[in-house]
Amino acid sequence: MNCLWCDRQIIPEINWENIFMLAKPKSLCGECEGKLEYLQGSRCKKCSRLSEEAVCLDCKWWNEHAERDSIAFNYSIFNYNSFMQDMIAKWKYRGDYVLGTAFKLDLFQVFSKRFAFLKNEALLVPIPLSEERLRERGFNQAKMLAEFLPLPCEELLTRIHGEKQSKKTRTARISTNNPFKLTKTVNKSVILVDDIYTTGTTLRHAGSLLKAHGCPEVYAFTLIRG
Amino acid sequence: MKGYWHFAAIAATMSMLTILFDSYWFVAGFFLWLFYLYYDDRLGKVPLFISLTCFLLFSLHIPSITADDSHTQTFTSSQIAGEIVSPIDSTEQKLDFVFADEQSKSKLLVVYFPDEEAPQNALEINPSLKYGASCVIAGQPELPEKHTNPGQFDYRHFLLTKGITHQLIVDSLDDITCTGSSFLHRIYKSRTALIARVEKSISKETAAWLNALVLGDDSLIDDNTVELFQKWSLSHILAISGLHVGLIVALMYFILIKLNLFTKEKAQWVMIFFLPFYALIAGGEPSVWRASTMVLMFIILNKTRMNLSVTDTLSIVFLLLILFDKYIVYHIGFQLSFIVTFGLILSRKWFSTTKPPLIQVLKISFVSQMMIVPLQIAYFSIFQPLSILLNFIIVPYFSLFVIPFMFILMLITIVFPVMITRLFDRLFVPINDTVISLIESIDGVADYPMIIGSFPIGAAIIYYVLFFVFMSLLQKEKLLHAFKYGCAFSILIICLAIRPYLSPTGTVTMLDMGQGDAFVIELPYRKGVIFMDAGARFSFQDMEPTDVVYKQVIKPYLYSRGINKIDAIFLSHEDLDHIGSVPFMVNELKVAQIIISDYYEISDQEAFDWQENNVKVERAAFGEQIEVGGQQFQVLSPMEKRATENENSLILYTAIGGKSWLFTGDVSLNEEKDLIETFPHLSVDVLKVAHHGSNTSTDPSFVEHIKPAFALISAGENNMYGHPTPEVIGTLDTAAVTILRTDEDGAVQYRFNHDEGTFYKFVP
Repeated sequence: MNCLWCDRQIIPEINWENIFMLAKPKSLCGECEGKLEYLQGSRCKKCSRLSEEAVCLDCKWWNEHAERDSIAFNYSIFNYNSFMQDMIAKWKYRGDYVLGTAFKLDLFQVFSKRFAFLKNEALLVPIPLSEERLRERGFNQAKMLAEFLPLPCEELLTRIHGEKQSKKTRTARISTNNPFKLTKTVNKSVILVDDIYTTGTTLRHAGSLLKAHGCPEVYAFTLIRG
Repeated sequence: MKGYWHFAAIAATMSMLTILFDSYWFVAGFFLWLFYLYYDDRLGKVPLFISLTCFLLFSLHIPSITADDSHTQTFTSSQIAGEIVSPIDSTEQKLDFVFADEQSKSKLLVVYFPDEEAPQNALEINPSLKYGASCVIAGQPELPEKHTNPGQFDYRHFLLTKGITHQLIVDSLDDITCTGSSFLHRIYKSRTALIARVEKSISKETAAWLNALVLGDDSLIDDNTVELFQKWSLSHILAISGLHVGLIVALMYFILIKLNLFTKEKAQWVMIFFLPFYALIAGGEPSVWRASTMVLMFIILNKTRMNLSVTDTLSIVFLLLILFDKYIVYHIGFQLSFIVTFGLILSRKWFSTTKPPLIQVLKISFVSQMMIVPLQIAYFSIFQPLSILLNFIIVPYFSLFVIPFMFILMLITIVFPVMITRLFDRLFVPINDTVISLIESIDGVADYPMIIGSFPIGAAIIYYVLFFVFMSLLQKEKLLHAFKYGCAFSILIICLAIRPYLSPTGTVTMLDMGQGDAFVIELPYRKGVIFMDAGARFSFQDMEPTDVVYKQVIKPYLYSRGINKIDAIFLSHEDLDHIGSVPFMVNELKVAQIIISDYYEISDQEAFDWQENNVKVERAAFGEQIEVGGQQFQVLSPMEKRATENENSLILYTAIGGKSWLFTGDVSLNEEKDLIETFPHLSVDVLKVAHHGSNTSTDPSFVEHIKPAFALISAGENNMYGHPTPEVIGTLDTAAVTILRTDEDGAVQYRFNHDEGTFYKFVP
């Protein structure tokens, strides 16, 4: 097996920890894996941003605007460092679909731990791309991530085509109109899945739409906290 | 498959364990583990398939060693033709080599004992003896000796583990006619020449270490030092292994490059050809092959830009060595060498978490010692908990000083005149003397060995599981958790050590020591270990006892039972075939007391030895009751002083395991008569027949009177006295007494629980 990022051969090194319980085959070599930055230390319990305070400034703002805050909490795994930015660019924008599998193991393990309290009584909903964008990219990265997880996944949402999120300013993002449409109502808890949490607006748009149509609770699980 | 080769090696190990222990549990566990890993997407199809194939392949490849006599294939002709398939091992006392018989394809060990009076270099008498030569040998092959005592070294089994089924002792080297030789002969010849050259050009002391550490010949090293090293788990220093090979490669490479003799590329090629050559020059022990093949593989991998993990390299070398020599799996050095290296490779991540080199050395010492605990106990019955600390001190001395020094000295010996060599020699001797005497003095004060009889395979598996979990927790730095597992495997070892103290089974063992007496009584719950006599073999020239019986029979038996303390030794009388091993026991083991009759004459030497070792000496008077560990012994003789030592023998009566026993030493007819007159109601179940079954005792009237059901006779096979005599056997047969004798049955053991017990013959 070769490293999905640098294409060097991966040779597992056996030590006391993995001699009995062999580690699952890795898709990144040790060096590249080391460049990924896990979110570690105290973090905002609402949005996963690294913060000394229990709730970060951003989320305090959301708390003040409770009518627009539709998400119980978001959980993310990685920091958006430059290596990660490179990886995301290659995966998402340049169509290296398989590179996404590099996140499979972490995604699965963290999810199983953090969302165990839902006892499988929840539905995964990936944040959709607009039809045009999907045609352009070839795959929906959020859907790919959701499919790595051990709960049923349903594409309940569709998206109206608009300007790329990443090209907008913060205020422009927060004040956008809801770009989503619901195809089906749901009465179970929903975990929204996406690649990056930046301001949380997109997820909250999707969340309020779900909640307005009878969904009892909405959570978010994202790969990266931007 | 890269990074997964250790699965193949573990598969081969499993087939070896399956064959060794004749149990399918290993396979079952291994398969479960493999399929779980496969099912859970941890292991791919290819490694799974290769592991299973390896398991099957090696199950067919590795020979099983059955000690039964299925090999008793007979040699009809008194001449056998074949080929010499080992180096000729020639010393002043003995010459031997392995010989492959052409016809039966079986291997024999050919042995020749030179005349002690006129020692002569055997190879000068018959220079045609060469590795690879085709020979015709006149003589009758025979089966090698089997052991006849529990715990004793089994020579026949030992040879079988090398694939040798027979032994042929030739009377004269003229009985061997050989022609030709193989290429290997030249290498072994240059090895012999090198060893001889070293011996000639430097002092014996330095030569001993040089030959051992560079040329793999430790025959010059003092036996006491070898024993000391073995006792403290330092033997690995004497075996040429990774350290030595690594050093010589580094040294040679450095010289070749720095002197501009070769380019780096070419220097690597030189090493590739040099390593197998060195492995042969260094004696070709498994640890040498392991280390040099590994280094060889690293160089080749580097040259071909192939990547393999270190575990892969070790695993492939492991598989290759077994494929090359299937009997190697039974070699202790092979087992120890691989298990330690495996442990050290697994620990690399853990080692790297500490920076100070001293702590790293301590960690290395810890892992190496703990990896071999079950093997160490299974093979040597002894475990020195403090050996980890001693290794910590001694290993750096050897690896940083002695071994590099010896390699340099070797080069100097070859290149420079003797003058310069002597200079280095003089430098080394005092330093090394100091260190060896340091080890000796540590041995004097810190000698707290755990004598653990055996390590059952079940306990070994539990030990390794606990130790592996312990190490993985240590690596994850979950120290508190690790500490619990550390306690768990320590408790396991302590449990093994106290096993005898919990066992309700007791034994009475008549050891087969040849012509002489040695009985061991082990009371239930280890309340007492009592000897009735402990004889030795002796030479008739100086009437001095030899330590052969002690070293080969008594000590191995005691160690195999986890014993190093003796509560009492009863000595019947002063003859060497009854007391000859006592000095060795008193010096090496802890003997609490020696009990002798009123008329036993203590020699000056004995008085000194016993006092020096704090042995209590007690006189047993006629009619007295003596208690040892709750066991009562009644003294029935001597009543008065008689003319000879034999007649003054102690006669002891005791009841053990529901039977009454009479130990009679070497008494004669008169004492027997006195005995039945004094004790008219005496009757016993087990009689130790007096004087090895000589016709000077065991009168029919005596036997009729005491009505024994069993008679124990301790006599040497084909002894020169004709013991036991036909008269005595006749008397016992007439009285329908079951006879148990060491010359035919080997050691005889009575095992009992409370009042029920059975006699077992060691040689069925």
